[in-house]
Amino acid sequence: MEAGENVLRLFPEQLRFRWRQVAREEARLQEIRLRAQRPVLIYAGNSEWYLEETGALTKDAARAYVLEKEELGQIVRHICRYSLYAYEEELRKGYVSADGGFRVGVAGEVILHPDQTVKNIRCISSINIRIAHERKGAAQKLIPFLYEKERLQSCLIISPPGCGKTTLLRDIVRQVSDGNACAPGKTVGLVDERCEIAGCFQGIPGKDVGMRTDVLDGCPKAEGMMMLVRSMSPALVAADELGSAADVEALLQAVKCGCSVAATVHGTSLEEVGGKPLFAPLFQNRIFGRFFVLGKRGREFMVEAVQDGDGRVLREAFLC
Amino acid sequence: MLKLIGGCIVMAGALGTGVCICVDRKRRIEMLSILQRAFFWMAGEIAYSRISLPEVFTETGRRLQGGFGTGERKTLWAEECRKDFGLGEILLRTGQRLQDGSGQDMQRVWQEEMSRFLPHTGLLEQEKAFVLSFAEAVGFQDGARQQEAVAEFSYRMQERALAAQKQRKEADKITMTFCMACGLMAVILLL
Repeated sequence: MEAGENVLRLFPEQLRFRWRQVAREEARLQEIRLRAQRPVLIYAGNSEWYLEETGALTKDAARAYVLEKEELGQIVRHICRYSLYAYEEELRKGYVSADGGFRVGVAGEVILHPDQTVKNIRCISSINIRIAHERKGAAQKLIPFLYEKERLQSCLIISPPGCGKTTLLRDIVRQVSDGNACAPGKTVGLVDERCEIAGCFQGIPGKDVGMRTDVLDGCPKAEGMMMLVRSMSPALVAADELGSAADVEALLQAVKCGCSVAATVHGTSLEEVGGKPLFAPLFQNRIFGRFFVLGKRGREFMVEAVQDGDGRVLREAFLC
Repeated sequence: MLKLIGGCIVMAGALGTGVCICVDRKRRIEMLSILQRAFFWMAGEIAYSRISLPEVFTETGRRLQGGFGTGERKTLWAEECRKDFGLGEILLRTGQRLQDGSGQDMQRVWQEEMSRFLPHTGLLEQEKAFVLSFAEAVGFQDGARQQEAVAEFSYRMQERALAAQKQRKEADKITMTFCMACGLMAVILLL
């Protein structure tokens, strides 16, 4: 596959001429932000760029290409494969999982249920295409910390948005599944609720998540973790972005069943996450043996700290 | 003797013309039934599995060809569906084109594939136009409404097929009588 092909596939054929150059930047591309009647913004290499009408990237706002509403509609329909109904549940949560493992955040006019809960989003006016990066070896330096006398430790990746927690989790899953210098391969159960980690297409992972990994694609985390524990006997259960009491409860159940867990959560430090009431049961039960705290210094993404289950720092600030 | 042979040939031609018209009518009814079944299955896939339209086309195409899942294995169902007049293949190709990553617009793909298929179906012009308009009936955000929109095509096809079936016996009789009468008249005139 040609470089950038995955990104180009996000756009309908008739608009691709404008996106070829952007797609070629896939390796350093982070986000593509499209808003109706507003300039197209591209985030690449930790910088913000405007898209010109010709498809070139510029820093000059005057030359920025302003996206028409109809064009945004075409892109949304294409990403949803002309089947908005199939994405009803995801749209309700504010995103769409696109082919290639990209997550597309959406905003627009919200339709509410009588009880004021969100029913759907119509008249989509902004989308944020987050470019998923597969970086094999991203977790290489963390793998030795994952094991204690060959025993796999449960781990929690703590990171602000956009610092690579999903990339890191994917590589941890791959290395545990395939085996690594510290231990032989183990069965991994991956709950990929937002289809970002494995990038499945019709159930087949598009990204390398290891040969012993079973993926539940598009499944709610809490339900998925229990399904995997009951039926697939995983040594490690992995899930991205814990965010509800049900997720926490399912994680506790998985550990009670003898599985190790690997999960990610939004945050900037162990203290901050540990202080949230939602996650209190995880800390009270000492579920995690390792915490990987990610961050950003200048333009570099770093592992700020590796901490053990008691919060002791095992290693500080290093590049992955 | 030659006149007798000539008369027989003219009568045979008239009979043949009548039979052809009746066969075309039967073919149209079968085609309408197949389209009705295809749209019905599509609506079912949307309602039950909530898969995207390209996958719906692929699944329906496979079923029309008599394959369950793989599209290769022929089943008893294939016997019943053996006269899909190539619709299964067309739907499979439509699904494939929409999933091959080329980014082609669904409306265009549907129009192109169906325009290739419809001329050989014996459908009336308004029925062809209705089938072609399918791509305009997608885009609902609500699954139930999308299912209804696709099911509507199934009902319309069924309605048409039933109406055509009702009229068929009578129409066939009239056609055959008219063709034979024309043949007879031609024979009388020529003699």
